[in-house]
Amino acid sequence: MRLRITFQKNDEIIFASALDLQKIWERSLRRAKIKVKYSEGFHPQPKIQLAVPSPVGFHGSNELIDIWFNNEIVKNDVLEKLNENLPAGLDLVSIEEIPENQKALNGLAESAEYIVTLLDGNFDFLALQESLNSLLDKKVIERERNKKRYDLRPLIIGLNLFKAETSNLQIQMHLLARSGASGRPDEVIKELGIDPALCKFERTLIHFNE
Amino acid sequence: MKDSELITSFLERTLFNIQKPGRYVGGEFNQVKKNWKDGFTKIALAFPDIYDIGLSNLGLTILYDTINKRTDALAERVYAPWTDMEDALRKNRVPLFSLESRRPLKEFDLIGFSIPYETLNTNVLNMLDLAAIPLQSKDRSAGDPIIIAGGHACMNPEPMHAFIDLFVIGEGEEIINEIIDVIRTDSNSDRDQKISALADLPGIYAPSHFQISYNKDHTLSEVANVKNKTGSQIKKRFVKILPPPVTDFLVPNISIIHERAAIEVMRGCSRGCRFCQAGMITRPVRERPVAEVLEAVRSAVQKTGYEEVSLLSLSTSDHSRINEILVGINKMSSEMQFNFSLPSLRIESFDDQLIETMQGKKKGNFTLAPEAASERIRQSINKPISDEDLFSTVEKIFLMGWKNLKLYFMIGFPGEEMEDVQKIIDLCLQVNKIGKDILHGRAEIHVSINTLIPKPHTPFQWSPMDSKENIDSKYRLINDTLRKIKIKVDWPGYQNSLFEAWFSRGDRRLAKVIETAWKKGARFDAWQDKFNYALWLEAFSENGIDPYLYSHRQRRTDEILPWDHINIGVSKKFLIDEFAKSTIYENTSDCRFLCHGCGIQTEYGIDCAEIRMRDQ
Repeated sequence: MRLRITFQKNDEIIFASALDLQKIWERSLRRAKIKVKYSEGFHPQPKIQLAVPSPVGFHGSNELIDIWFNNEIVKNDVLEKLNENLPAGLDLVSIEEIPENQKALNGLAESAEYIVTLLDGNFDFLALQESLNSLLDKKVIERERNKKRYDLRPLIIGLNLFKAETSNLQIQMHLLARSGASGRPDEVIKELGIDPALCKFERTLIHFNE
Repeated sequence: MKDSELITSFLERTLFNIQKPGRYVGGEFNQVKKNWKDGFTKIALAFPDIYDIGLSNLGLTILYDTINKRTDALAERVYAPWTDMEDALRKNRVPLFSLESRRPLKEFDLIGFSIPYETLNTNVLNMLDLAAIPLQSKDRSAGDPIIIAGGHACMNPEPMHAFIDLFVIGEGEEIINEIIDVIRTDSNSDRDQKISALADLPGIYAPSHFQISYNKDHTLSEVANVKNKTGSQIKKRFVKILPPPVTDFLVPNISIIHERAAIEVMRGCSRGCRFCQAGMITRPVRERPVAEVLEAVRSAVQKTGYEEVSLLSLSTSDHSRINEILVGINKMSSEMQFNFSLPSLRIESFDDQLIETMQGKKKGNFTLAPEAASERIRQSINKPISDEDLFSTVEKIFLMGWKNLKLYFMIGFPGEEMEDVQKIIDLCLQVNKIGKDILHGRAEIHVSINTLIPKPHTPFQWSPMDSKENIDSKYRLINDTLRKIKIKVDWPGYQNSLFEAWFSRGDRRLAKVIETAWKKGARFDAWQDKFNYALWLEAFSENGIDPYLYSHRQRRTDEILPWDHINIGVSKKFLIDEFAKSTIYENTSDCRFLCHGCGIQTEYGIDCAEIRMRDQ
């Protein structure tokens, strides 16, 4: 049996790397005494799979994890036990059963939506809107990351600016999230001339190819 | 904005550019975060190395648990920030804060540092400075927290005397509740009165209450308790009956050095190796009952979800019922799917049953610590293992399927000759041959060489450390020979050992050296890439102190040693006798079977045999 859990990632947990998050889930499941399926081979590992890692420091409101079980298991039971055993900052949203042999989440990811909140208020709405537009008008946005040059433009699907209730400005970003062709919101922020340290990043949705 | 909000806002704007930001935010599973109430006694538990190393510290884990179980006190944690975070704190003028409530350390009533080794001293100073607390005890005033320190390095507290208001001598869990009670009783008293009241507790050393005078020849002439309330000696405290182990360990959200549940099966060691400070200062031996250990293992795995359990003690295989413990854990480990590791196994204690239980375990490194290879030195340091035992153990280890064997040796023992060093080489070659024969060449031998630091409270405390010339040639002989046959040799370098010798064997005059070095930028001296030997030499010379007087002077047995007023329960007479026996290569047997009168029984009016075992 394979279950897909949608969860939120906030607070201190945002600083866990993808590998750390894997361990956090394994240990939470063990504390909850939920018996998961183990991989075969010399060093059996619990069979759980997180979708599309997000960078350290990112919040997430619709993150996904797949968990395999040997036996049929009651979904609500899993939710209840896990709720008590997840560390602060991980919160369950929903749970659904999916076919055992469906393709892995990572292979199916197509794009992701983000909300980037500008923490400090001294940005002019119209000027920033203008920067966004001119960014979108460009044919090529050449950037360098980890000593590799790449074109950011084709990775951007859409950018929208709006004002949050807190009066902070927010940029909604829709970026490609294919393996090998994935856009990073902090790269967009840097291209806009803004210090990413002064932003709050949140991944709000991952889109999959069905 | 409140302080904690300012700190949160700082973190939000800073952590993006900081390495491993998870070090500075807390939020671990099993973290205890109490409301910051006015009436609470607030204690910050501070570890002067980074989060990655400090989180799993067992001493602080026990104190965190004990304090937070009280309804009138709270404990929060703080670790040394790595250099990038230190820069950010200083640049933004944000004071060092606790992880749980994000409160500046200054808002706590008490800060308790754990100092397990001397290389952390400068980090203690740095943390105080980052917390905007005056470095020197004498400069602190009413609004400052009381600074307490404990841990093995505090068994000679003198080099740090200027910076710490009060030292806990011995086991903190025995005294922490008394400390809190005293602070709570005198809620109207001022800081100095509180410190005085705490200094009256047995096992608490207030350096400001002691005056030290010196002779012209650099030795001490007098140690006087000027308040004269607790006498001229501070006697260590220890727990007579170990309470059940803590099992709700903090589970980190980021990767750290030791991610495992550590269950202490036994405290103390009865072997009496003469170089071993831990073996002297942690007496008497106290074993935990089998059922208690097994229950703790089960509970720890359930409460943490950890996939690894480690059994801790100075010599785990000396627990009188280790086989029952291992059988029990073995059974649980397959049911509950966790691994377990057993550091600190004695070479001669490998019986077949012990090996049986380790069959089928994941085979990582196996570590053995013969320490010396010649018969003469083994007798002299009182670790009299036989080559036959060693070789047969090694054989069993390889037959069981371990491929990597690590061997620990020390050089620089008093009276050591080149032929003793040659024996280390011969022994390694023999072990290597056994491994290659059994595993058809696939065995890997790893050798670790350390220089003996004659530590306080050991029979070697009067001996000088071996000279650089000697150590260099001894090490070169070992390294040159073993490298040729592709045996890896680890070596911390002479300078690191020298540093440790200076500060473990030092007196009060070293406090200014520590402060000078810190001002010059010394931090993280335990980190090979941060340790700056030249800087330390400058700090010594600026203060007109010859460091070699601490490391290389043969001390007289009738002189006053800087740590003589710290009473660990083992008598000076015993240490002198042990040293004398070492010079004539005479062995002192395991004191489980025959008491040699080290003093601990008479000093505390206890019966070691009764205290050691509670299982009958």
